Amino acid sequence: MSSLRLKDLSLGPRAWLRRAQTEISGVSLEMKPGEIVALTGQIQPAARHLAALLSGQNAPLGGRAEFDGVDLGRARRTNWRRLRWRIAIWRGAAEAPFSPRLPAMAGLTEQIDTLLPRLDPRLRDAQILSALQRAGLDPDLALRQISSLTSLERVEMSLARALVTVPEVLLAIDPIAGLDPLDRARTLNRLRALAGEGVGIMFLTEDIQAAAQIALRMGVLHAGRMVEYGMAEDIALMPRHPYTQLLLNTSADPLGGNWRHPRRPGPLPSAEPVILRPLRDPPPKLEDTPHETPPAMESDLENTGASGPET
Amino acid sequence: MSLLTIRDLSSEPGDYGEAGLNGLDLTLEPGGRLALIGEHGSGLLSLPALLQGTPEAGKRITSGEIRFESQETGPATPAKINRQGLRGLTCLPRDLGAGFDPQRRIGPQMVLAIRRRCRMSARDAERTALNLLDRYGVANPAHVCERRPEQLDPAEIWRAGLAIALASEPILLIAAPFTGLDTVRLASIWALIGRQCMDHGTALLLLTPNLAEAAEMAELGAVLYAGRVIEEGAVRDLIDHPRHPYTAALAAAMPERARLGQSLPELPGSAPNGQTLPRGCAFHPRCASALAGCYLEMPEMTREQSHRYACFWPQGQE
Repeated sequence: MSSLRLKDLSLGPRAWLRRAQTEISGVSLEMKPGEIVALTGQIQPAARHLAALLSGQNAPLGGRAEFDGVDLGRARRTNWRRLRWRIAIWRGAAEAPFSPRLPAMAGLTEQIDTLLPRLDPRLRDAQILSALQRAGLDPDLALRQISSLTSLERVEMSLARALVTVPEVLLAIDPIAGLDPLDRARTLNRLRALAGEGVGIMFLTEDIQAAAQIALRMGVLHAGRMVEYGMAEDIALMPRHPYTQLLLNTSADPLGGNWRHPRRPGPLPSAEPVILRPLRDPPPKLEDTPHETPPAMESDLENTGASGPET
Repeated sequence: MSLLTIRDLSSEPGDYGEAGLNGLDLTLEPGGRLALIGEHGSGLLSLPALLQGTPEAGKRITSGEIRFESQETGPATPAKINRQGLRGLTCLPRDLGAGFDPQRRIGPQMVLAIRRRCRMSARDAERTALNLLDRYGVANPAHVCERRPEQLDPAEIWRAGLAIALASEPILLIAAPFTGLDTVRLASIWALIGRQCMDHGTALLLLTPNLAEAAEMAELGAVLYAGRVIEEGAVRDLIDHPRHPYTAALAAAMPERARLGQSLPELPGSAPNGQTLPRGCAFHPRCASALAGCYLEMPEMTREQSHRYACFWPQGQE
């Protein structure tokens, strides 16, 4: 099992072009096996570019992305053949690539045959079955067409498709969007259970409350920058960046009162990052005093990593 | 005199397993705010079409009646109001910014859309559009009207969409959760809707699966399950002291209320299909406290102060 590290990563479309445009910058995080790291806020360009990066379709414009010691920006085709099945991308029901005519099983077999073509057939069937069970589905449902399933079953079927290769890292791109509250709760619990089995999960969602609920660490994206990063609990209880405060103050609240005052349409708070030390880290030693510049982000990463996964 | 009265309304099941309504009873006072809380398959999604009286809706209603009564219209059915183009009810689209042509200036598009909804001259429509944009906090509305949607911030486009929907000053507004806008901007759109309701005495009917959204926008709430109201009362009561086990499950599933890092409570099974409702209480296959009576009989509404619920074994009672 291996970890994913992003250091001051910049991403944009078509990195091989000379005049490629940076759309995402300053993303630094580290994910160990069995941890959930959430990214929330304005996730849209980041979701697209991270999915492209982690499936080998794009390279970083700056910074470094490392998975299990391999620099993803420099990985060759031979590397990717070994890496691709270990990183799964789960897009929820939104873009579930299932054929409307064939049974859902066809989508699962296609995934495993493409990524692991030389797998022993008996092992392959066992993996498909276990993926369906890990996704919380009755295996018989895989014999039905995707259109005859409920919205929750579709989301779980696309999770099963992501899990057929037994990946070590799962990039979950807003799987809970558009789900009903009870289905949402079940999906969040499913993510937590997967993390308990040792899968590292990067959970991208627009719902900051859901992110804070299940993640160990959390990053907030705004205007293409990561404006805040730290322990999810600390951010939920004591947000420092104005945008994070705004997100928490405008999400629907069971107590009511968050949707009372209309804001003028206009620029949101600036995207200058607030560099945080996690609140419950030991006090810094004299030799590594925190900096106010991006290098401090790196020292933060190591500190949070050292504190280990929370149970 | 209540604004909207729905008595024992039943309708045929819709497409995609959506349950039909099954004896729905509702009352909405003028200027009141009511949230209807129901998940997919609860029959909630068929309600806007039935209320607006679209042509196919008449065929789908099997029994019951909808009455709409205000000082302007007198007693009427929504279909009649729609036919005669009276100031009546408006259903907000899910994506307020989707109706605009990205290539054309937003001002003329607004004038056209407003004139299609209310009878007024082009100059009046333009004045209304500018006034509304100004009231919604858009800086320099004349400048915004000269721009094309692709040159504007989504918040401004959505305000233009809201201005079109509210230009006819409806008496009843039907809203469902919006899609396609981020949390921060969405909250300001909801705030504008809330203020419109407050200033003009517009009644609001909010259709949502989410109790937190209901708590933000409405005082009263009614929870729907399988096409029927199973619990109603103040939204705060529904969240803090739910009596029906389904409402309790909805309230417990909110990530905002769970303790950080703890798994959320789940409910077994899924919502019943509209075609095959179970006998007795429709919730009994998923209910932890169901006993023999629940399998046989549909519980009647029990009143407890301002709170009503349909359950033989309510939560929080020894």
